[in-house]
Amino acid sequence: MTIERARALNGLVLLGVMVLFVLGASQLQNDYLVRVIMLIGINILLAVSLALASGFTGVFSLGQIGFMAIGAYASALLTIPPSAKTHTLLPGLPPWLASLDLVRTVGGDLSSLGFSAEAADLVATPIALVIAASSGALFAACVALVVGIPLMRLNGNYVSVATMGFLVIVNAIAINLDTVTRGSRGLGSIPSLSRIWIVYLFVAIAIYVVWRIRASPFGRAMLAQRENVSAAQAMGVDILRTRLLAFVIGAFFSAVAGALWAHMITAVAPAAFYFTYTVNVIVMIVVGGMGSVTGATLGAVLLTLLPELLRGLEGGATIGPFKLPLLFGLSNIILAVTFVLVMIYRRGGLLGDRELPLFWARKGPASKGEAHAQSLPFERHASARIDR
Amino acid sequence: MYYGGIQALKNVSLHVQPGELLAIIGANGAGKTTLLRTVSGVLRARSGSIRFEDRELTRLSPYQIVHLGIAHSPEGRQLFGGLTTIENLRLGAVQRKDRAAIDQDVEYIYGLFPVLKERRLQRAGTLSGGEQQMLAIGRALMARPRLLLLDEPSLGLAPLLVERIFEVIARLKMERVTLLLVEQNARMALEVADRAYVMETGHVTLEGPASELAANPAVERAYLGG
Amino acid sequence: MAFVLQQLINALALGSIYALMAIGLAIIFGILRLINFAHGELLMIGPYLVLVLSLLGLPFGLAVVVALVLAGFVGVIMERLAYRPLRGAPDVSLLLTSLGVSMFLQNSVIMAFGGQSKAFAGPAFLDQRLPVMQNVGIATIDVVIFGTAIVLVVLFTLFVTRTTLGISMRASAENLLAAQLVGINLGRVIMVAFIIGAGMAAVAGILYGVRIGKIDPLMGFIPLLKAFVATVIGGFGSIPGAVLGAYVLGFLEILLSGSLPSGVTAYRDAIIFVLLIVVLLVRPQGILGSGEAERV
Repeated sequence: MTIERARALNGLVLLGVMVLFVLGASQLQNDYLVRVIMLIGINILLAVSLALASGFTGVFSLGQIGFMAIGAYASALLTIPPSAKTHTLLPGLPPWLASLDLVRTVGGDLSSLGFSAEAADLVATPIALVIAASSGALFAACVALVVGIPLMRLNGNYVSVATMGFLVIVNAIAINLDTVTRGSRGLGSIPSLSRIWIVYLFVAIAIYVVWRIRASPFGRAMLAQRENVSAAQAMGVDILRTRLLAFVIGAFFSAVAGALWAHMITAVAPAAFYFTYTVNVIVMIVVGGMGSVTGATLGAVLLTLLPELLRGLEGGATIGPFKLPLLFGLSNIILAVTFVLVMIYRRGGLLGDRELPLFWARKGPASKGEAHAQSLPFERHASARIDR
Repeated sequence: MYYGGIQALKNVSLHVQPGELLAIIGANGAGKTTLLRTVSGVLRARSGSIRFEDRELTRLSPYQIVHLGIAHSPEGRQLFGGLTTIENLRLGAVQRKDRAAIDQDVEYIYGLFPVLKERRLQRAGTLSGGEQQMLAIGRALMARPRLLLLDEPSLGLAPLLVERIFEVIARLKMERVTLLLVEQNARMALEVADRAYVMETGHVTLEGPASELAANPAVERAYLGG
Repeated sequence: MAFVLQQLINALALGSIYALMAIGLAIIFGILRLINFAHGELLMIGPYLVLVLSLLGLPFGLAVVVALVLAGFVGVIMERLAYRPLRGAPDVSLLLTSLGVSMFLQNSVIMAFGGQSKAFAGPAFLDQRLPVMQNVGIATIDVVIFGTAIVLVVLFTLFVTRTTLGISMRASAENLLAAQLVGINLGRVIMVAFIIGAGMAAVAGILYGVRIGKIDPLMGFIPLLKAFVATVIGGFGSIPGAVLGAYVLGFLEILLSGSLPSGVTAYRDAIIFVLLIVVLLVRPQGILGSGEAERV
């Protein structure tokens, strides 16, 4: 079997497994489980886009969640019914947006195309969500482009501090632009449009796109400049363009995650999109592997499930004769310790830059022409450090 | 008495006699700087051993190695650019407690390099290349080392300054300071040294008394521009 | 006039809190290239320790002294357990690790004391106002904050210019390789840097807690962000720069709140961070820094 065929089969099998999983999960009646499964998908989106924007490029962005916030707010403003965004509630909205009823408009268009009323209703919700999420994500991508052109010129710590500044600015705007965001109270009345299959549709797209980028010359350029900026420059890599591409695409999928999150929780507030979430996503890709798509995915799954499992412990538990008291914060402490241990003992994360081997193609599809597969992220800069 | 047996890089084995001036010559990338940094403990040897007066150095931290009496004047000078000349000199004696003797030694360095006295309150980063090199050597001497490692002391200096630096090296030799001199300027190094090693890409290719090496046609062709 | 004086004192007090944080950030960054996100937690731990010690019956003054010692100890443990094993690792790995340390400390305090804020008060005289002119009272705590900061900055300056250990600390921040080659015991220098950084942060935390009258596990975050900005303005790693940056920031904040229309004042923090980004882009070495400009 040729590698191409194996790879195609791999993809198909993966897709099949995912479809089966989604079909199975969609049958679940337990709302809590459905929510956790959607949350896993959303976190995979965030982790994979952070792996692209930071793990591959070495430009560690602390502003990723800012784009998530932009996606969440922008998409929510599109889908919230006009009755909930009247002039008295949100005076800052332009009239076209205030009167926009995306779900109903899409439904109306569909019935005018000849769909029956029921069919139009059924199809309208997901289409509305896809439109809202994509618009929000495009908006976030534009912001990322504008912000990224100056910021992606910075290196190392400086870019982290600057992107953190971006996050603080987004947060300040969300809190203070009352007339559009309702300040720290946040936006409510967001229609509950997120479904497991829509979430995982985006997950599949994101993984596919990021996977392809990684295997492309662009991906190799990213890894090359991560290892050694000047060497990559000498080889003709356009550093700014390479980083910018990763940053903008990362922002796009983070914003999609934000939109899905908003339409799952049905409310958004500035506090949700701040440092806690930022650190959580960083923990995901650090644990999973900074330069690895499967690693980021694995990290997102593990670190979404872990707190859910530990939550039982926090409420106090009885183990044999011992009664544990309430332990708020315990799950985060365990996460933090795990995180620091991973940083000390496996700096590149569990998988580093490698991909999980899948079925036939033992080395994983992305390993073709992959010179850096074994090296840990950022490792190269280390050797130069002492000479500064 | 002491002897230093070094085994680093690719089976490099060399030793320095007390009171001797040993030169290591070789082209860029021959591994000379790596060798010195391994001796100082800044780089770790993967295998092999470095011994100084019968003490094993390979597991020691740089500051412990300095404590044993080895000082290092590094390639590229590596001064504390934002600190003054006098602060740099005194940091060379950071492990010593004998204040009076330290003050004396500062005067001794000023005797070797009078220009440093004029510059004593100036930031090291603002000194000229030659002055910086003098300060780097002076700082290393402030440790009162029993073995002084000098890495490329003449690099990038005008010929007149190179002469001056080598005069001081000759004087140190007269004062029986054990010296390990790494140089690209093979002519000057072989003139002043007792013995020398020639290194090429991590190997020692030749060794012997400096005068013999200087007369060796192969060395002459490769390093003396003959 | 009275208003101006009031604002001046506000700015000085604010700048002092930032300065106490920024010094620690700057020395640790200077030596390790570590942007220590856990520094905010060192600020937060100070008043919590005072709270516990007061509950144990210690008078406030003694509680503060013991708390500072313990905070220094926390700083040392932090470095030993989390940062020392990463010595020589790339800057970004250190930064990420500090995020984990920050998360750990924050949640440990949440687990022990809960996430809600707790009332925090110093001795009664701190709550009084000093009559300066007619109708103008200056909060005693603001004067104490400024005075403490000045004393500590002077002491610290003497330490880094007059003592061998202090000069070694500056030297290590200047050139790590050279510091090793001349025989500076880096482990000890780093340990002392963490003790000083943690102690100053704890002092800042206690003063800040008394000023606002309450403490909570997340209280370190905003001062940390501001101290970051101060160190960036002053030039990463430069100690005089960090202090100057802190006071510049304090004045800027008060100026922004006082002089802008109320609708814009709310964006004060956003404006400050825009400024931060502009400084990073235009003059990454800061006002006083001379360090390398890491750019592509």
